[in-house]
Amino acid sequence: MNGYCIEGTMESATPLNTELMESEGTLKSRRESLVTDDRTIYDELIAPLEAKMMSSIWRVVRNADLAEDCLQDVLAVVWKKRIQIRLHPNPQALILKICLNAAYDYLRRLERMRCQKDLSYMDNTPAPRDHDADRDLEVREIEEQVQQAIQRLPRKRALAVMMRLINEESFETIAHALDCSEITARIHVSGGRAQLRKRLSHLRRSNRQEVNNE
Amino acid sequence: MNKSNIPDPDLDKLLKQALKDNIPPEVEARMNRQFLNLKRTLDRPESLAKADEWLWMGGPLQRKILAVASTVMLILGVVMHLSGSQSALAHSIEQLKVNVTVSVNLNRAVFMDCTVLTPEAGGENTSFHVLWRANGDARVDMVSTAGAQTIWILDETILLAGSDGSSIRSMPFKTIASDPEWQPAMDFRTPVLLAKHMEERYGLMQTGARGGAGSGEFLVIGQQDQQAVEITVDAKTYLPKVLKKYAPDSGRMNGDRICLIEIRFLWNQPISGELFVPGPLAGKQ
Repeated sequence: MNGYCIEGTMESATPLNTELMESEGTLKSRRESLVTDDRTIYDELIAPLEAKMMSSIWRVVRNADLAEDCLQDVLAVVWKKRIQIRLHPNPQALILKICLNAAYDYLRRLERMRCQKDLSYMDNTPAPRDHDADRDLEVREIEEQVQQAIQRLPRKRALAVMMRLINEESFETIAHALDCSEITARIHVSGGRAQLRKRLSHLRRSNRQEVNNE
Repeated sequence: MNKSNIPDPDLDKLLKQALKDNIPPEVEARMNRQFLNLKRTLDRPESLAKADEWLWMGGPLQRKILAVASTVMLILGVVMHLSGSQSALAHSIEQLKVNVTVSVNLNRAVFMDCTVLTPEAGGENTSFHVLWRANGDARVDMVSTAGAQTIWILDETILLAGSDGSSIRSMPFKTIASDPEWQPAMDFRTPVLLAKHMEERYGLMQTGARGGAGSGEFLVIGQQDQQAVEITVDAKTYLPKVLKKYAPDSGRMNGDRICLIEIRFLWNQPISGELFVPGPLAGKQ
């Protein structure tokens, strides 16, 4: 096995295939140079996305403890895969996908907690300073139902929907993040949207009535 | 055109309303601290090893270890139950659970306001007021018979007002850390440090609602250098309210216990950012 071997390319590498060897060599040297400066990687990859990462996680999880734990998991994954992320055609989309993927897992965890009535975890979100208790309860109920509807979607659909409807990403970015074609990304979004529409129809009706009354 | 592709403003509006971007400042501070932790780890010379350690602390490996530890404890529980010594095990597990919960909550704190009182001979006290926030900034005000003084701790550097009252001097943190005058406050300058002391130095062994602990709180008892350490913990937040250290053997012969140091804590009450800005005027609260 030569030093340039990269998983999945050895079978096609022959002594005469200089083009392939060269590209492997380039990849390897790129990897080595990427390992050298961790702080640069942080500054380039993570620093510009800090606010977006926090916002993406919070918007889905909406629980202080879980959001913090989720971000810690995300940073661990991002750091572990920092080289692959840097080599990705759209590193920002991939990091956003990692955030939403973890948030989706935490949604499922939150749902299990709700089933077990673990209120200690449920009630730790600080209330806004000018909060109205009834309104808060109503809002919290709607949030929970939307969260439940999202966590019941298949993972890729959920990710596509969250990226499109919540983060307003382009289909091209979603396709990059999910490693699929743009058409497939559109199918995921429209399928997810249809499922959400069905599951949240009662909320949409009441929401519309509320707007009409106002 | 597929029906599901038709834009649905109601659904979009509902999703955006339900999952709106209204991250509370407290949560934002906690999440920012995660970024800060990673950055600090990277800034150290041994960054790669530390980053791996950081990953280990928060990553899947830790969960695996916890899962194995839980299994071992369950097996131990069954064995000890069968051998008839279940109460000792239950007690130690309960104690461990309390210590871990307090430690986790200390590590999650975003603001700390703590008052350190050290009684001196003649009934005079030296008091320290320590303010800390999650980005690592801290401020310590000392009031003693000799007068009042304020220091700011920013990034392992101490800043203090110069003798002329208008300039700011800086010095390495070690200078103050080894100064016996400031020592009582230095042990409590961050919640993480307090958690570390609780885990490593105080040897906390017993819990129970006794002594001065009222309803809604409980007492954790330990020892450090033969001094009795008592920590009153809020039963709701699992954060320390009061920590006291008593002189060795004091109170054993029905006499009054001699309190060597008393620390009172307030947690997660927002503290004005101005107090963390070094300056002669900022020193006056």
